[in-house]
Amino acid sequence: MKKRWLSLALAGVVAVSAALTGCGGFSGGDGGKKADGEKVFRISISSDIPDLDPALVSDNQSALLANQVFQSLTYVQKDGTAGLDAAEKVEHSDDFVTWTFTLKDGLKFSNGDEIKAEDYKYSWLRTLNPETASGQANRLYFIKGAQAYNEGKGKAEEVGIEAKDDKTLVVTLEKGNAFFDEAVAYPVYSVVDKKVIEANGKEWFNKPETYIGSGAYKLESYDLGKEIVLKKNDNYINAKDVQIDTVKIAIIEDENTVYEKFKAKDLDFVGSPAHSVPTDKMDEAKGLPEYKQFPNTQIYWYKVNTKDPIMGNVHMRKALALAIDRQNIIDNVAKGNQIPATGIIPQFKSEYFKDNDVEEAKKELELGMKELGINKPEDVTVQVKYNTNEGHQKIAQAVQENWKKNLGINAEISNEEWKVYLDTLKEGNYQIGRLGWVADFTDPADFLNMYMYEDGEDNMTYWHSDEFNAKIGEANKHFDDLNKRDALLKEAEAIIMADMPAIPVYFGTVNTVIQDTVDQLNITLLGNLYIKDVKLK
Amino acid sequence: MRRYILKRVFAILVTIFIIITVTFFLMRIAPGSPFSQEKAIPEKILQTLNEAYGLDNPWYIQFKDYLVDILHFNFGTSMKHRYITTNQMIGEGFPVSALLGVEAILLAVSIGLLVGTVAALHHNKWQDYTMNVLAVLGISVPSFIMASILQYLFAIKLNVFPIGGWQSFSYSLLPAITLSLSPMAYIAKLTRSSMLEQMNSEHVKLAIAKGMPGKRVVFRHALRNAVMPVVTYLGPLTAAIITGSVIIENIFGIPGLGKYFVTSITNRDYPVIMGTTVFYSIILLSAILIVDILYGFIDPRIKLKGGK
Repeated sequence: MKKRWLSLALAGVVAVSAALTGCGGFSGGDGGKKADGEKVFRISISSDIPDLDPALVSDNQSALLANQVFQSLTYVQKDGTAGLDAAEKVEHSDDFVTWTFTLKDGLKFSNGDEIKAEDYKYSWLRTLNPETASGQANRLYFIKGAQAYNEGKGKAEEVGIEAKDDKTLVVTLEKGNAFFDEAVAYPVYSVVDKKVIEANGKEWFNKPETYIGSGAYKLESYDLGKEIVLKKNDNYINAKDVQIDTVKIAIIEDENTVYEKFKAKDLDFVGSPAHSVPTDKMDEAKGLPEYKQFPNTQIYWYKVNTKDPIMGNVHMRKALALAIDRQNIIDNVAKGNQIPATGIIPQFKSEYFKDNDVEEAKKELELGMKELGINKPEDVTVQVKYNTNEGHQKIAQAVQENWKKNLGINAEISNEEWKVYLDTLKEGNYQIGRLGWVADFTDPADFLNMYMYEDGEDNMTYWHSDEFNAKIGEANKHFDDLNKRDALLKEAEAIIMADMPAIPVYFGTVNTVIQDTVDQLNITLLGNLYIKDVKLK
Repeated sequence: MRRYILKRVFAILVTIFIIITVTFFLMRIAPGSPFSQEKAIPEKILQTLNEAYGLDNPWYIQFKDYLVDILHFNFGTSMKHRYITTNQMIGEGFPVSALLGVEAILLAVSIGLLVGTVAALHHNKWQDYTMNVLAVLGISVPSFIMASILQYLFAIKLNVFPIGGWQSFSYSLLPAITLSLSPMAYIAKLTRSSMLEQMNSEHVKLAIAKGMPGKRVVFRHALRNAVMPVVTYLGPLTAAIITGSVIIENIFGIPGLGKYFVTSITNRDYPVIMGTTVFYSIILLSAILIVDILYGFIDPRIKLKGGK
């Protein structure tokens, strides 16, 4: 009796494991095999896509998928400026307030539905609709009445978007802006199919059949946590120029595994926004013929809480900024051929001070200590915070070492988990904190605007200057003459650098490895990858 | 027997309720919000998001809503991946983790028992010493190091297994082996020590004295009793191993449940934290209950309280 029971249990275990093998589901066949001349491009990302609905996209990975599946009026070109995608022509009034987009002929969604200017109006208003609850709706606040509608204070009819006819979309902005054509390249501005959304409600992006866009690719399948497969969309307006037929996006968390898979030729490309090359492997990767670096528009900086008794002193802030050996950190810690930042605008790369200027740093420290009534450098201790991450930790340790060696002051470094860290900084419970900033469009002012409001959530330093705000205000009157505007923005940058509420460390780069079977692949200056432009040999 | 099981099931329900309550409050006390990100979200938009997820309600309403949803086994939609429900995550991730876990347990138990028995039968001979060294290594080397070593050896150098991913059965072997090593070593040690004890016991000595063949003594008399501590260990081990190991899943790129369990916490993804915690609790508590019931079958001397 007992024996029979035991053998039954054993049989049960075998049956269960067999069933699991069946339904536990391995994702479709071998990643690399190509069927009769089919061009396959294989990349990987670190986790499931956070947002499939383009109206909600706020991160790199979601944007990576949306950039392939959805289409906007413009797209980001290699140099970061706007190229034409659905739009045939973009015109603006002299004051950059009124923008007129003319649509190309024959635009269609992947299911064959026609695209008209009215569809763009619907899509943009959908992003702004408070019911959509988009965390990125503020990207449309350029448009007149958009903020009021999004905040529930205004009506949809009052938003400055007008479909003049099937082909013409006229947009009125709140204030003139020369970079609006770049802003509309972001996925929250892309066009979605009203018919499909109205028929399927919020479920529309849950199934490949109803996940309809008009980009170069359409979603073929999405195996949660495993793999996303995209197929070329024959209804895409420039389908004839698209060479890759199938895109396979594997979901693998570990950077090292991804890098090894690349070396085993299981992946065609590794690099942001599709995963990144692990820092430990950078030295090795840089020696590979497959290695390629792309410039980017981003900064790595330490923000300083100017309300803090010690860090409130401008000389102390300057002393800390000058005593960092950026080139050394780049060569030995970050390892990605980043560019030492001695200003805060990546487009300008101005030199407001010398990197690792120990002499000058010591002088500033003397002045600072005198004003604060501190006698010896050993008596100064500053707290440096960063979010939990090995790379940030190593940089913080290098900075700590620089300050100890060059100035003789102590730095205590500590880390917090990302979400907690952001709250800590936003609440001002810090002296010095690591952060980064990546540009949304090529406008240099993107790196200055956050410092216009003392309590602004993106400022975090509590620094404020009327003179600085006035300069930016003046610069924004010169969208018609971008050279003049840049000169004024440089003046504004000089004002902030004289006070150093943020200590720049480096301007980031994008480091990638690309298989030699790939002929052409670009990462734009804003970090986008458009697979429609990738060409295989 | 039935009364015993009913009593235990009731205790499990109470335990789960306590776990839900503690998790709920810990989750809310922990700083950080599911919606915080580097570029700040305007206050108004944040409010809209909170409303959309019912996070603007007072805590007792939210708690009540949670309980009602959990009663219906509806854990809600992830706040990080806003198109995936927690049920879907468990539904997709658990079979993968469970398959890997079952493979690992089968390996660990079969090889562990065998090695432990062989070592005990060759007490203080080279087989015993070798097994001891290997077992200490197996228990003390952390799984992430073992994973990297095996991956380097078998996938990168020898190229016999894939590096990572989840495309066919061969992809599951290397991670299953890695996952099995530590419990395998532990089971071998457990088996060895209790086998030694059994081989010296009166009834085994009697059986040998009566001239019973060696194999029969080992299997019928010694091993059967020696296996008890292993069964005890199997309960929590099964629960831990089939719900996924985040480290192994991470290194080998396996789409299991362990990943969601851990990342949901750093993402402050409330519905997923709650869903995976409740699911894990149910598995763990049931595994312990099953082991307790199994005792009665394997060792007739153990009587379950309230059983007949």
